[in-house]
Amino acid sequence: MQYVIVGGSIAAITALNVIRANRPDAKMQMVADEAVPFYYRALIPFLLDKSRTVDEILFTEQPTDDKRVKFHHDRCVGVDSTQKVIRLESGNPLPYDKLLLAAGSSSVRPDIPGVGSTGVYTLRNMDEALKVRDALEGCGKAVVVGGALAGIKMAESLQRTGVHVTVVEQFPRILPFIADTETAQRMSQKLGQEGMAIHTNDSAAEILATDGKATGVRLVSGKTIPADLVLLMVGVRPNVEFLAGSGVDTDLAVLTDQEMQTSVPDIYAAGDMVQIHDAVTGEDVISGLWGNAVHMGRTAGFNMSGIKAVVPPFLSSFNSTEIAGLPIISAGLIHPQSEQYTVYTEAQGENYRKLIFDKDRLVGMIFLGDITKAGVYINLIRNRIALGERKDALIREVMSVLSTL
Amino acid sequence: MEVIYVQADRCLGCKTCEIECRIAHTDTDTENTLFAAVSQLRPPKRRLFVEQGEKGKTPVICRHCEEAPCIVECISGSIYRDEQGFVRRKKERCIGCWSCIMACPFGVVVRDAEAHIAVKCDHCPDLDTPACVTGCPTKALQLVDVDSLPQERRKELLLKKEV
Amino acid sequence: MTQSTDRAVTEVLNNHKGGSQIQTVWDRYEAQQPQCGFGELGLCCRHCMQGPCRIDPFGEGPDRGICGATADTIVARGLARAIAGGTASHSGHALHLVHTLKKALTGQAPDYAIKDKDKLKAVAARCGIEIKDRSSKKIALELVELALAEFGDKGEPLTWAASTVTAGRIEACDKLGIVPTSIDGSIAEVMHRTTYGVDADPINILLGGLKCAVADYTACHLATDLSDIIFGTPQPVISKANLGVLREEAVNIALHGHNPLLSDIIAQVASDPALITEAKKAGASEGLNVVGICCTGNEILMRHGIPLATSSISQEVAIMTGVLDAMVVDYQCIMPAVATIAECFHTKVITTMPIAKMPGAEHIPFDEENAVKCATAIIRQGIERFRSRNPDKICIPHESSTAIAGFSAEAIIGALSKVDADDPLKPLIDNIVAGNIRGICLFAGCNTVKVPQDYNYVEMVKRLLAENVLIMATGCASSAYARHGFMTSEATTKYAGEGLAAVLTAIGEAAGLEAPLPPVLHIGSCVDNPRAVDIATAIANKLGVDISKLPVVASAPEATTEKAVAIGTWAVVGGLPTHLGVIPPVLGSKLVAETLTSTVKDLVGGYFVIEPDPNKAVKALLAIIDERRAGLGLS
Repeated sequence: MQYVIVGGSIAAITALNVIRANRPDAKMQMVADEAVPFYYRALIPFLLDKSRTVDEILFTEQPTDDKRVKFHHDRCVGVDSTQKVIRLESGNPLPYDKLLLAAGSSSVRPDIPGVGSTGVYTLRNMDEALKVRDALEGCGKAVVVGGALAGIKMAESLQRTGVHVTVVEQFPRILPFIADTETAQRMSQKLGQEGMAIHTNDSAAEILATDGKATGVRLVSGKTIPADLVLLMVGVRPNVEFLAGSGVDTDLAVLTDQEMQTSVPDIYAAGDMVQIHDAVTGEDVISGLWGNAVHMGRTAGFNMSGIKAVVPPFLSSFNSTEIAGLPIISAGLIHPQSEQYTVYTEAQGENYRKLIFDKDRLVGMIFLGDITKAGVYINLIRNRIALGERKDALIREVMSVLSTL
Repeated sequence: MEVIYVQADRCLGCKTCEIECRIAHTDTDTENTLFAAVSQLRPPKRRLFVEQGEKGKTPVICRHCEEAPCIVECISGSIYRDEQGFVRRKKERCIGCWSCIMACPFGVVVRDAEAHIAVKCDHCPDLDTPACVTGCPTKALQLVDVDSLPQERRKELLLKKEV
Repeated sequence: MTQSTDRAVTEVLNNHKGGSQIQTVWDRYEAQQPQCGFGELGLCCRHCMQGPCRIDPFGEGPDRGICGATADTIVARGLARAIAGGTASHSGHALHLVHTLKKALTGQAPDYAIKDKDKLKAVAARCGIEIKDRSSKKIALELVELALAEFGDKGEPLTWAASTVTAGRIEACDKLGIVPTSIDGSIAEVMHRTTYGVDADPINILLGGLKCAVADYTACHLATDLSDIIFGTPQPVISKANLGVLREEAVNIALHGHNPLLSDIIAQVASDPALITEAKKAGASEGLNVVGICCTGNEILMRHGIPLATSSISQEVAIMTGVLDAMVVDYQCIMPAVATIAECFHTKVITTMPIAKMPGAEHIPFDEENAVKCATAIIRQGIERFRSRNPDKICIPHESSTAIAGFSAEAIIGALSKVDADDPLKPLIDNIVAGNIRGICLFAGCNTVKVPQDYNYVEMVKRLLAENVLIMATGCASSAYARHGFMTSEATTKYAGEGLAAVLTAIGEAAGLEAPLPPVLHIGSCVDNPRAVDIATAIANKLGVDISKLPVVASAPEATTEKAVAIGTWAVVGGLPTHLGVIPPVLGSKLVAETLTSTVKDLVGGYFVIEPDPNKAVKALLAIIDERRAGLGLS
């Protein structure tokens, strides 16, 4: 059995590990446009401020250590599902019995004047990170365009190197997908105290450059912010272009069933090139979350190994991080728009809690500061557990964990 | 595999297990004692919690789940399964992103804010018997061979958590 | 969790303006969950430094402590010490009154006097003091010396016990060797026998506990008698009860604690026109409003008709109304938390006793030598504090009930004498015999977080009244019934069974009330429980039987304190089947539990009935009443 896996991040590696464990006879080929060894993408910010070396962010077990796995540092440019082969950028066709598409997504590079200047970067993979790290030598000021989680994490890292950082976010608040107005405001304040400048309700209109080298950013509001370095962190889009003509159905991204099989038999997909259905909001979305990628990769791996498995209910929004020394965990519906939801908030010092209910079901939560037992609450959201009379105990934080399971 | 088995109807809620857990996880040059634990500048964290449940008192403790959500969600390679099958945390790999706290439906991963690392049950790898089990005065916590348990109990014990 | 069935308390808990950080007794109870089962069972011993020791109630771990004490020994020791704790409280309360009376008699405490000479003479005569042709002062001085002797090494049975119970009770106690000869000596003896390596026989220890409980009874009776002598014996008085008695336009001063020595003087001083003018000048158009909390509240309600704000468990809630300008406390049942809650409001918490201070409170030492001066200074603090009241933090509930209080034994006999002046007890006894009064139940004790406030009280009393059981109440039980409207004539019409209603109506009309007596008689504060014994003793003596034969029972359905343990125990020794609605820490020993609920019955006639369910408790008490009626040949 010939397994081909397109992609080199967590969804791909999880699937590979599952197939390897369940099919001792399997031959596996991986195609990825980043060179081995594999690394934890979330640790890239720690490369910038040199708090971790490249070695320290690598996977401890490299899948390519297994002799049954052949690695191609290449790019898949087409899929022929009738012949069951994929085409590589290097020209060679690669036949498969079972194919996993886990090619991930790529940074969006906004089409604004000056975006091609030196000193302007997108930052999603290790190569880019190492370039930015080098560019930080002698850098005094930086602008990070995009104040969502990835942008803020990079901004914090830059700031730790002594660079003065300005963040520009087009939403009225930073962290638009994981924070509500209150939490975002608290975070902004903390970041501000640490010296970070934040402009919300604004975006980059032009990269200013002298002699082809970036010198600043002009914002839509008209403000100009000088910068030696500009990071573009405005989002990603799924890598699905290479599927044109393959017969694999796509909408926002690749469509799959609960077993992660695409519309074409023997072709599976996982990770953030897949469109999923959110269990709480009911919306079709693309999720870049690590855990979702693990589940998709694992489910695909089992089914590709001939063991039936289905994905658990997905939440597209659940995040945990620490920003400016304040931990935040949020999940589900954090911006309830309709009257159907009741919202409980509680603030004490640096701690802030918000619970959003749909009748007796918890549908969303934000914990800032004190994040104790956040997973218990998220479990309630994910499994849409009707709380009945226990709702009150949950609000008062006296509900027994065991009664939530 | 020997695992910690909770017999909830024996729990009296005395929280000796919580205290023993803190003592065992005290970072001290001398012997791990109650007095060493309470005199720490940063008191050691407990990794299990005695709770008042609907049916009575019970310790809530890491199940070392078969499909451990904390391993799934760990974005830095810090949480892993050791050779004995227990879910543990590599201190030096932890970045304090708290994904494991977000993931655990039992709420038994806690944040050590000062050390900026997540803390969870490690099944006391340096002890023959985990400290909480040794300390339990009513044997509400016992170390049992999971294979020796009847199927039903086993299932209950290794509560397979779908995430 | 339902915290309280009192609507005023609930309203303030839900709507107070103190902010979400406020933690009340109910929040702290939740935070304590789960509570240690060893403690709950009484199986933890900390009496020596080899310990603590714990016995495994499941029989797999240790079955004895390091010294070899078994579960039975440990549980018995713990219970005996709880009784000693309660007795020490009542001893302190009583002794304080004795010292003050002595100072008053010798001119050192000019603000106190003998207010009730009749009571003085009655008590003195009962104690064997010659009263004929002697001045009150002389009688009182001798009574003081006699009283002081009760606390020391008297060497003979305590007068206040021996002179106030039936001969049968004395005999029963004598047989068991539990006749105390010193109040404080009995406390010390319990501490001695329960210390490392003394008494290990659980039954013997329990007997020590019973003896100490008799000493507690002695102290309580002494305290009641002296309070009546100094401040007057309560007579029926109409007032109001519940948080609605607090007034937005007045300086509200709550008196909280137990001993009338402080509160009675403040109650007197509060009517000083000069102080009322000061209050009005400070902006309080309605002047001064003194209210009571806990048993201090009962003392001043009975003697001055001062409204009762709330009971002990909800003491913090009084502060959370935002209009309490000062809370003045003496001792017992004052939660240290009040000072913390007060920080969220403008309320000044004032401690007054040298043995009862509190971080966060202001201490104004109260000395009996300058009682009025101290009381005036304290009231001025309240007036001063009124100025810093924050109008945005006010949350006064409307609820308050009318309450008729002040049914001392003398007052009850007085009312009965209106029916039959020659033989006041006859109407009562006749009606018991006829079955119009099926029995009598004394409700005593506290509130507890373990029961929604007043729930057991109200559930039980409704059923007992319907079954024609006459109710007497003390302490926080009387507060519960006052707040829930059971101390009115209307309550008789609403709740009392036909027979009981007829009796109460007849007495009420004979007494000139033009309405029935309330079905629940407020007989006093918790220290006043002996008033019920006085009535039972009078009935028993009149009938020529012992108390242990009477259809009289007691219930502490929401007990909390060590004092309640002591009182409950002497009620048992007194021959009363005594219900407890909260499980005391004795279930770790089958022997102790059985002794208290069963074996002791054969020895003293009384015994404990432990039953958390109020409906089952009522059934049990009614069965006991009927059993006792049958024993007396009554149907």
